[in-house]
Amino acid sequence: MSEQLQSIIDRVALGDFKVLENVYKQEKLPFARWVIKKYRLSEEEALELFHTSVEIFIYNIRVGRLKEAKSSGVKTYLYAIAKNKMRENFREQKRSVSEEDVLLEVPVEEELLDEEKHIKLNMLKKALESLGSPCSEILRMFYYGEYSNEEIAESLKYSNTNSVKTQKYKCLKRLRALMGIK
Amino acid sequence: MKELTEKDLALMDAYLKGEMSIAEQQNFEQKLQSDVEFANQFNEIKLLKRAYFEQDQESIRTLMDKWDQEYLVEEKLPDTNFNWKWVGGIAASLILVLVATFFFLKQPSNDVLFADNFEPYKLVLTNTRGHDAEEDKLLEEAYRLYEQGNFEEASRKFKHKLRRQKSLKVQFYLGVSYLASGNATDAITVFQDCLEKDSLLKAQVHWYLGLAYLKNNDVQNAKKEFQWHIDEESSYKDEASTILSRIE
Repeated sequence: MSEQLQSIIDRVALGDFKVLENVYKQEKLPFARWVIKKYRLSEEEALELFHTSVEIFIYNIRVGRLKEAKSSGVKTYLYAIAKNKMRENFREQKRSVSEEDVLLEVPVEEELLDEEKHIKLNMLKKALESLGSPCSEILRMFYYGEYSNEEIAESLKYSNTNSVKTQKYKCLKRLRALMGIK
Repeated sequence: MKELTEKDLALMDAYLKGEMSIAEQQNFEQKLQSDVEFANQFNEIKLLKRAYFEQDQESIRTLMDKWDQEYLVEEKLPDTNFNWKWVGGIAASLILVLVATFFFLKQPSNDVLFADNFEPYKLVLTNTRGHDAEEDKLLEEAYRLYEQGNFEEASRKFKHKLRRQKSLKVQFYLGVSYLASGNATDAITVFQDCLEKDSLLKAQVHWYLGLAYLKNNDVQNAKKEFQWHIDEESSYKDEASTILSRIE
């Protein structure tokens, strides 16, 4: 396990994505060369895959699937994600699904929103920006992440799960107030 | 408008986290059908996931765009001093040579080899990620023509695009379009220019340049290009090896 990787994971978990700048710039070209050679992708596809791999890496940290560094560096994760992604594409082509590779997938469905929901989503995003701590963390961990009330209590140092539930309720009311809803 | 109650929220949370029995789930879903306010509140809570996801995506995409731009500056890719007038002049003379070659020095085996091995490089993503709608439209049109197999028209569009904005990728597709429309000489000029830069499409360029030489019956240079794949162990090495064994 690498301490440096753990520090990156911890900072990304808190929403500090700038911590990835060096690794992004160092790995972009070698990564692209590797996928172009291995999968015969075009330059554009290779860069797209690099972007997607970085996004998936971040997503897995943010939702709490990746909490502890189990590999030597970010690079290993990015390459593993890319391999999974390519396998996933291959499986799609072959129309067969394997049960492996549960980790490192992005499950947030890109559902098409109607006009009303779209407006609400934008209001929600704006309200979240001014929600502040600890509400933003609690709601993110519970509704975006895969954290239970117990895990949130432990991570944010609440004495018990009831305190988390109460705080979560208050946070939602605050959020709705920021959106102009009761 | 009804206020969100702590009890309703507990129900919604249990449903979202899959902590309900089948009977509880059915009751919950019935409540969603019958209680519009409750359903609205639940939809808002579900939207939270999407909101956080999109916020994260927007943040990282903004950063990646910034890093990509800085990266390009740091890379200091050599400038393309592509002289189209010069290319045009040389091309005209070379076309004459090509025609002469075709009639007097025709080598069917090279043509057969070319036909056996050439296929236009696949075009999967055409996301330009640009900021200029008109420029993007021009490129999209070029890609569309390319995909339709209208390579002559596509090459005109790619050329037009290159005059306005240098891009190695566009240059590469211009080369392939030339080659696909039978203009191997211009394709060679374009591919040679591509190779002056450190490109992610290096193997592809060497492959198509080899085919262009082959098409032009320049066997010596074609061999050099195919040998490159074997020496560099590129993804085209098997095809290159086969073609080398078949070249006269």
